[in-house]
Amino acid sequence: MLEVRNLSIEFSTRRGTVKALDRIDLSIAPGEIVGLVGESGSGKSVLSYAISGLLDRSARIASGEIRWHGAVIEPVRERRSTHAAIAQIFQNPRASLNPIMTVRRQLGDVAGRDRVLSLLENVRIDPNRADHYPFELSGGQCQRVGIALALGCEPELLIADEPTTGLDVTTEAAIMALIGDLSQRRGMATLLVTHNLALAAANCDRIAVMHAGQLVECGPAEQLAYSPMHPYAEQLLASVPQHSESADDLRTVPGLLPDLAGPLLPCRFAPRCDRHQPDCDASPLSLIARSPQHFVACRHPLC
Amino acid sequence: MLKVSRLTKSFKGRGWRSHDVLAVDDVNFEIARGGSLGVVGESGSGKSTLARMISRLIDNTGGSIAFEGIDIGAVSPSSFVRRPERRRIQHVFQDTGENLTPHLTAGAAIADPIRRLVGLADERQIRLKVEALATSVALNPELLNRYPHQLSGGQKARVGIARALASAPDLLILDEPTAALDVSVQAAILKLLHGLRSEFRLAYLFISHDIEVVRLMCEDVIIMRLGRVVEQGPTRQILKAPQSDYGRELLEAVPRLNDRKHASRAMIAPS
Repeated sequence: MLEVRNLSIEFSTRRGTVKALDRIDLSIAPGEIVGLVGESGSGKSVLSYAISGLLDRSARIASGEIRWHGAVIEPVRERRSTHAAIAQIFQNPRASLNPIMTVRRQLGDVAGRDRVLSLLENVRIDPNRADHYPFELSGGQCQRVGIALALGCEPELLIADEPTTGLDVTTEAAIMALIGDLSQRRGMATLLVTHNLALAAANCDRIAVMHAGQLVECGPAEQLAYSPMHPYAEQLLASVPQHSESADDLRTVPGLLPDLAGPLLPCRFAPRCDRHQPDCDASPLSLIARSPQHFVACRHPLC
Repeated sequence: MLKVSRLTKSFKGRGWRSHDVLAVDDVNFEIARGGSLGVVGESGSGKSTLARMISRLIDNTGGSIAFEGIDIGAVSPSSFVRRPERRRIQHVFQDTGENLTPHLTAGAAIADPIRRLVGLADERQIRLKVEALATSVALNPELLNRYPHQLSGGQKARVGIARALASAPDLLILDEPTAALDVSVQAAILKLLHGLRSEFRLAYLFISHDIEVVRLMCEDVIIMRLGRVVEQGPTRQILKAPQSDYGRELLEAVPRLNDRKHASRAMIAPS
């Protein structure tokens, strides 16, 4: 349904050209939930904006394309013409709602007035809140209204950019169950952008791991959570609190993300990698299939 | 060291539609010197209100906050700034990015409490102290000349912690110190906080919505819901066998790497 092929995106800034995405390949099928994980600055949001067609005009497509049901769609806002049924849940909940419209009007505009209350109920908001303005709601409530708005347009593809940050785990579980239910019943596909690996592992069919604008590993959630192949995926998993007995056991990914405006090595993780070999810097590397569904961009994977 | 009894905060309702909101309702706990208490609960459960009352950013409407036997709950927030206890209770905010003064460099932000609360005036001594604090929180001293917008999220978190440590406090109130950070940066900050606690013999009141973080950081925990404490006790014990319905629900809902919520769903092969 959605196919991202060899997509590279650059931004021109005063500091030079920022190579934000480097040859990304990713496809999503109807009904599938794909998790997109990585540190902040890894390009998760740029990729999700490209798919939603919300990229700024300063973005330049250096290579590749995005196809929606076979037809090419534009990642830049001004140039997107097709009305693809793609909805996005945004990171900053309060800023993505209209401050001078009540919840009821905003939801009614999108989904029809008769569906407002059932949509609110789905995201566990008291129906009495329908006539409130966004500033009268808590951050978590705004977030849930944003989710109700996105789901209200019955999208074929939902791009959920950190949809549950700031929500407590019980609400988070309810939202994820709702997304899971919609994908099962209506075949809605979901791209779940998150840095919560446990959330992705528990709810997604596949997980894609990004580092510094490159997709480094993509595979079935279970396989990736148990036996990651890319050293970065492995280190990221080791820094999840659940994996540790005490705070002393926590591991961190050494080093920092490289400057994407500067010269870059073929593998952008190389300077931070403890498995780095001379041949890593040799030539551009692409995703290598280790099994029909599991891909890794590494010359010396863990398994 | 800290004994909170029957602590209550109600907010006056504003406008014709609203009624009073009981944000914190009859909360009781104790923290010993060097001890740690985690507060877990959903957004809107009163966690931050509780923290803000104890650091005297807002006034309580009932109950007492005994800090070494003195009821600081009876001191109004505006006069608390001149109290000796002010130096000893420090607050680390959720999003350090928004809580550092934008026109002060990292170094100046850390020096500020040294001047105001410790009363040090000698510039050379202040500079040495700032550098020592930066080293304690593993912040490269070269970054001290930078402004908040020139620092990463993890670096800003370190500045916030160094600033809180500057007045040599006994109690740190940490309000979601890692909520805005990545997992790997979060891991680094948690390790740092864990080490600092024994190094400086600090007591922690650690607010978090992530029970896994609290498990690593705190011996005791309270679970709050709608302003009330629904469960209270040693963290290990509560995690193993929660007694309340909400506690069970909360633990059940934590996503786990090895627990597939949709394992039964048919895998659809990507095209």
